[in-house]
Amino acid sequence: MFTRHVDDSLPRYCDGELSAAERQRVDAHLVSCARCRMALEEIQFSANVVRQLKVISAPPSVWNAIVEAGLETRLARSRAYRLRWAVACGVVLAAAAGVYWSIRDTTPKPWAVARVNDGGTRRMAAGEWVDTRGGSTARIIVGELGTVDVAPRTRVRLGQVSQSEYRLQLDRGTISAEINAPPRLFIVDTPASAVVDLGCAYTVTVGDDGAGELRMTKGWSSLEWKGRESLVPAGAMCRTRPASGPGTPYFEDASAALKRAVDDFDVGRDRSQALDVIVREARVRDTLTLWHLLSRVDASDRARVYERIAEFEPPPAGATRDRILALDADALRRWREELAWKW
Amino acid sequence: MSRLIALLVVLMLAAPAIAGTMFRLEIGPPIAAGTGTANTPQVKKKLAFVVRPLVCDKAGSVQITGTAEGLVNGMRQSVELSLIPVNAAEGVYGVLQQWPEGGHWVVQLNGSCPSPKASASTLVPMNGSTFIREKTQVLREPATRQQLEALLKELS
Repeated sequence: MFTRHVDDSLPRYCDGELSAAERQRVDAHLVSCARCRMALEEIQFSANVVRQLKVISAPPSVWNAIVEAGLETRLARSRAYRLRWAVACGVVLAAAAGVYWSIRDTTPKPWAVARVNDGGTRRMAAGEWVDTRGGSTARIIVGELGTVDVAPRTRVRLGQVSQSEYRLQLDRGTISAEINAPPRLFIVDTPASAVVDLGCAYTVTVGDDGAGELRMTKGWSSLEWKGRESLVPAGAMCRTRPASGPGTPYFEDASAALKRAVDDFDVGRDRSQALDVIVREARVRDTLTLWHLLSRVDASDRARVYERIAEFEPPPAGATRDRILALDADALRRWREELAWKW
Repeated sequence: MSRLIALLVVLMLAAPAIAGTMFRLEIGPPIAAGTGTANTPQVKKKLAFVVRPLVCDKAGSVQITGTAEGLVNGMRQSVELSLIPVNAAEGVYGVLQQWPEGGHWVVQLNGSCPSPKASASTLVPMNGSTFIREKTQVLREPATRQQLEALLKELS
């Protein structure tokens, strides 16, 4: 049969702490179990030895050590407590960050726009409008390329930005750009033309009717529209019209008669007479205007425009009269590059 | 005597034509550096103006040097210029504004052509970084101190 030993109850048996029933059970077992009797004898021997030991006071160092041990325990508990809080806070923060990451505004905002009136700068995305119709002014920072100052009563839409192009759309009003970038990297679209930056500094204005004008102060730019192109160097200006795109450029120091005649020619008002005035009034510098007219006048008028330019500066070798009158692109370009020394 | 007078008259009448065929330095706006797009270095757009030799057998071998001569608050200043090569084969160089803002400035360019052997100068009055074409003096010989000072005085 299986015997249930009583060695677990023996210490309390020795100390008289068992109930009467338990004590009877232990007594009955000890009668028949030599092993438990031996265990009882060992416990009783140890208890006798302990009882014979002297009781002495512990030195202060022992008590101090005990106190310190207690403090250490409390500190350890405190550290563990703080650690648990830190972990809990970390979990909460991580969860919050996760939520923010999932709902954050991921729209790229490549444009920086400074409101001159309040001095603040904010990032804006492609497609957003800078509107100063309330009378304020603003400055658009075009990456590291330069700046565009937006005059009061102007609406400009910020366009897409890529490594090869920065684009603005001028709806109405006036902007002044000062850009230092590789050619064709910065473009301003207007209702009647695209101002392709080949140069440095200029002002573009667009009226309520979509017509506008470009004034160059440094470098040069190109106005482009449906295959028509006007090159505008520093000191010159060019008007743009919704129906016909870029007009004929002229220097701002040209005679009033020449400037008026160019405007008449561009809008088709008595073109023959306007051309007479332009040819008569032109100075060497106005070969800018005459060169552009070569490809814009009727074929019957082209020769007299050619002759007038040639009076100031004959075409370079190879760019023959026939090739130029036939509007050969290479001959026209070579003559223009030579004429540009006079502009 | 009458032959001598006739010769002098002929020479006087021919002088402008002869001058037109003499070595000189021509200046132009930055656009004269070339309107090419893809290969146009950014520096071209910052140029105040460009200069090239005319009527020299080997334009690429023409030596061109320049100084900016200024009158600032009544004090004369001189700044030696570093010219930017634009088209070495054609002897085309660019001039960047290397002189301080303020005051009155004239850029003096000197060039020498090895064949036919000749020297010339061009005095270019400046308005900031913009050259004043109407007052520019293209000289078929090295500029004198008097010519330079007179131009500076005219500006101030």
